[in-house]
Amino acid sequence: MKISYDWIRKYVPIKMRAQNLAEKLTMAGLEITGTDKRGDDFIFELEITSNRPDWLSHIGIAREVSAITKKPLNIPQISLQKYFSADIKKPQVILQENVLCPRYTARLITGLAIGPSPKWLIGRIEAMGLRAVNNVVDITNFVLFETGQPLHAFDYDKLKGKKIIIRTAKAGEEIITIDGEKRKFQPQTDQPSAGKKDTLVIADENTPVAIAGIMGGLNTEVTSSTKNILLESAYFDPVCIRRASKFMGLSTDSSYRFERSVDIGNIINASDRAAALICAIAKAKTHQGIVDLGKKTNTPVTITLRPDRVYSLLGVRISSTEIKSILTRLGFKVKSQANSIKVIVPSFRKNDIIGEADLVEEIARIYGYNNIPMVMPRAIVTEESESFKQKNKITAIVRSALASLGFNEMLTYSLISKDDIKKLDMPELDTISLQNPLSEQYQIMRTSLLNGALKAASHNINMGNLNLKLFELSNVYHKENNVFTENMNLSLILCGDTASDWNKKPRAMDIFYLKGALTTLFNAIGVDAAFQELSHHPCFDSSEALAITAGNKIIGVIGRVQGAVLRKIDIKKDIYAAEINAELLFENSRPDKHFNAIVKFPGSYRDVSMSVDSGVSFESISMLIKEANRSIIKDVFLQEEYRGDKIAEGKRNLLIRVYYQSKEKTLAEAEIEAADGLIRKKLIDNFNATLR
Amino acid sequence: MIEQLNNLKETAISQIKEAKNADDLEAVRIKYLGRKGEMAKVMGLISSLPDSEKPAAGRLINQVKPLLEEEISKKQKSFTLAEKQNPQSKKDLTMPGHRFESGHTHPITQTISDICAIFRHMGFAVVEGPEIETEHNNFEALNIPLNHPSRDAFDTFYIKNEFLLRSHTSPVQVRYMTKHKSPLAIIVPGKVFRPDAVDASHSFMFHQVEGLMVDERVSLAHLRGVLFEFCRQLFGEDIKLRFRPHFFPFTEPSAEVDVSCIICKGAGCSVCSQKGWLEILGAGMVNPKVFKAVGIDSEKYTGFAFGMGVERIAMLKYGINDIRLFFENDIRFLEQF
Ligand SMILES: [Zn+2]
Repeated sequence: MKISYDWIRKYVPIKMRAQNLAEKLTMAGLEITGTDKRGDDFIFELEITSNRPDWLSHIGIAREVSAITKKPLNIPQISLQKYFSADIKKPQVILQENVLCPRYTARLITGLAIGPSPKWLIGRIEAMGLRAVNNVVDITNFVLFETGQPLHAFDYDKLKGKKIIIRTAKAGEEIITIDGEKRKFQPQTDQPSAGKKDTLVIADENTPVAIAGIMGGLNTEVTSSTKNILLESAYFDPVCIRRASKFMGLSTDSSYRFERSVDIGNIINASDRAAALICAIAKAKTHQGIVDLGKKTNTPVTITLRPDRVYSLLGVRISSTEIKSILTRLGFKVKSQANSIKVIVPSFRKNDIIGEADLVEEIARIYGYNNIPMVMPRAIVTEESESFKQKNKITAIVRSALASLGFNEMLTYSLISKDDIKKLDMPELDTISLQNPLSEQYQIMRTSLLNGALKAASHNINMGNLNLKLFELSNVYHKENNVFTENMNLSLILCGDTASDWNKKPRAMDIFYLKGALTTLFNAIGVDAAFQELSHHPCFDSSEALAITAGNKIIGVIGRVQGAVLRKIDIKKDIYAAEINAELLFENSRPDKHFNAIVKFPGSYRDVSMSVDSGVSFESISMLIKEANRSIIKDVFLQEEYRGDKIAEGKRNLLIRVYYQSKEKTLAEAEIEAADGLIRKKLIDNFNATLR
Repeated sequence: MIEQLNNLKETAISQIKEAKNADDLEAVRIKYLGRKGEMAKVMGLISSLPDSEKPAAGRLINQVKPLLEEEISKKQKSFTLAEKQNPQSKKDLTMPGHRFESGHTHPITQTISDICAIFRHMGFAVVEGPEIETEHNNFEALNIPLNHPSRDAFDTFYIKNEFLLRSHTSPVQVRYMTKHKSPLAIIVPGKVFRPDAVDASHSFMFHQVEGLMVDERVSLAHLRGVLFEFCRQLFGEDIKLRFRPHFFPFTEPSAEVDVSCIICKGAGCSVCSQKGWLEILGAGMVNPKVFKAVGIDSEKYTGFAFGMGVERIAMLKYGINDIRLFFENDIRFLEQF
């Protein structure tokens, strides 16, 4: 909102520099976001919070300036009597909607000499960034900016039946507003919740002549040929105006103020002010009194303010005298009582000052927030739940373990598109969709982290970052039986080669690389997990996909992203990925370590080199070897695998190293030889292995 | 014996001279001076000599041993010198050290963790809440009624009926106060969503950290004390704080909190739009209406709450100029943190 510094000085005698005033207002909560020099004047751009409609006018701001600077506030005196004419009759107004329009006033002004406004008025209007139109329109705008009360002048002679009816619009009715737009009234369908769905209009005998509180009609607007006007000054229900304004997509200086609530106690004053100016400048006359319909009495709100409460909320003692002085300067009426102050709230603050705390803010604002000391409170030790502490601990280990393995943490959007889901062949049934998405691109709550991971991979590859190791710990979202659930998942994605340098050749990162990283991670958080065959996954190539199990449950998947998926997202590199339900992972985590005594007796190893059918899995061989003598076989390592044209088709060569160690003694050579012999026999008997 | 020793000395010296490299030399050293070497053998023979010959033999041994040791040491030095002078065998220590792959946690995760750590030290408990919220928790219980202009500041993604994506972390306050007894002090990090078109300074998804303390006679002075301590720890000892009155439906009194610009130290620069101040926090005393909604007696208890945008703090702290970088996941960005 724009405020003219020169205009403010008409109401408060201040001499300080504009920049100085801007600073003071900002520190009192009227944030000045810009200052423009305009001739001798300065125009402030203000950001007014929605709780302060009383600041949407020059008098409102002047009142604040007066409170801050302790200079008196001089509001213009209005004398309308000299323009009264007994010949003029009050206009006919019918108020049909006294809930949506609690108060409506109208006044007839006749014998107008419409013409350009005087220079001073044009100056004010232009300072507000508007174009001067004619003296009547300019005066209604002037009074709007002066008092915050929107007014509307109808060309009285163009009102059919010479009457005004305040009613709701009928479906299908139309109006051409002063901006030249034709608008059709329809029931408001954008609000699912209950309540009035009608738009309030001001109508003549036949048709709407204004959208109440928002914009007037073209047919009845004041033109150079207008002779008589009906001047409206009203209070419209803020919710009613806000809904209509939102529904019609039409926001004006007027609707902006009505939806924040205007001062119901100032309606007649504003009308009088405008009438007096119009009569003076356009040489017109009006009738005595005013048509005033609806709620006329306005019981003021009274709040009991305890200075001790001020102290307990602010932490600083402010004397009763100072409290009363601050509130009085802000327009409140105060009266001392035994241990409290009785505060009467002025009508322009009745929406925003409801309780004691609201008054405390007023006192603090003017006292100065920065004059309040900084004090440390007594320490309150609030316990975190055990489960949360455990989760926090594990997530910290997961992050640091993966970072130490060279993975970078990513953060991807929780919102994806339907198309993203299709590209990964994911099920669409249990997805959550937004009612009001920004765009189709971000309409669906993701059910997997893989969409984002692949997008991140794609971005990097396109940027020439070809070697990638990324992970993310974030939520996925599901709808189950119409209940929304959120679950933390862990995703990992790999692409390209390991880091290389002059002493180390790069190695293509493959599924075994990812499997190894996960094994290390599982060890770090104490998860006893296994990898099993995975029959089907929409995203992975079925020949290179595994399920990760822990505690007899599948907790995740790992695999090579299949070509069909990669083609759809236009990635031309091999990608390996894993996604794990982090909550199930954490459930199986035993991060607390236990020490196992170091075995004193030296161990040794024997290598077994063999050729077996390719169909025989390493895992089955490893199990067989371990079972040969569980008490002394400590570990089985795969040293080498060879497949290729140097050996028979359908075969592969494996070099396996078996570690022997006993907790009780140094193993005798003969014992190891015996076990080694048994292993070799079993390999031949069970797998038809050729040993070398 | 003496002759034997002299022969041994001669052969040893000639072998030392012939040694071609450090390994050869070491072999020679072991052969003559080792524990089971030639010298040791000769020394073992002394006891079998007649007493009259013993002193002379002893003296000779005592001369030969240091002599050989010196010869070996000289030869060793000559090798080292030769090695230094021979560019072919010299290691080029200007070559880089081997590369170790190291990953990085996300700057947002790091910033959240830094913020939470500071408040944890002040006794606050970290608490989380769901991202899919009810309209009640996100709005009504926080004194943001439907069809009220105060909702304008909280444009929100709706799912259906009463459900939405939380537009701030404040609903966690409502959940926590409803379930737990006062006094309490919590800190709430998390993702929030608002339908803002994405540009360099806007994102429809971002992160907030929310704080809440409820106790008897907790005051605005305490809020100022806690936030000052927090900002000092996060941004440095010389930071200044400024509270400006503001409006939030859920706090009364409410404030926006500025810190002295961490770039220009308050002198004015492009980051702070020449103001010297950066707005980083919203804060205030818990509105009695919120206490009423969660069933806390606002006559007995008072409280303060505050909230901050994590991206904004990370951008200021690290000098990042585009919020989209956080979600693009370009490794050239991620690897800088
Ligand atoms: Zn700066």
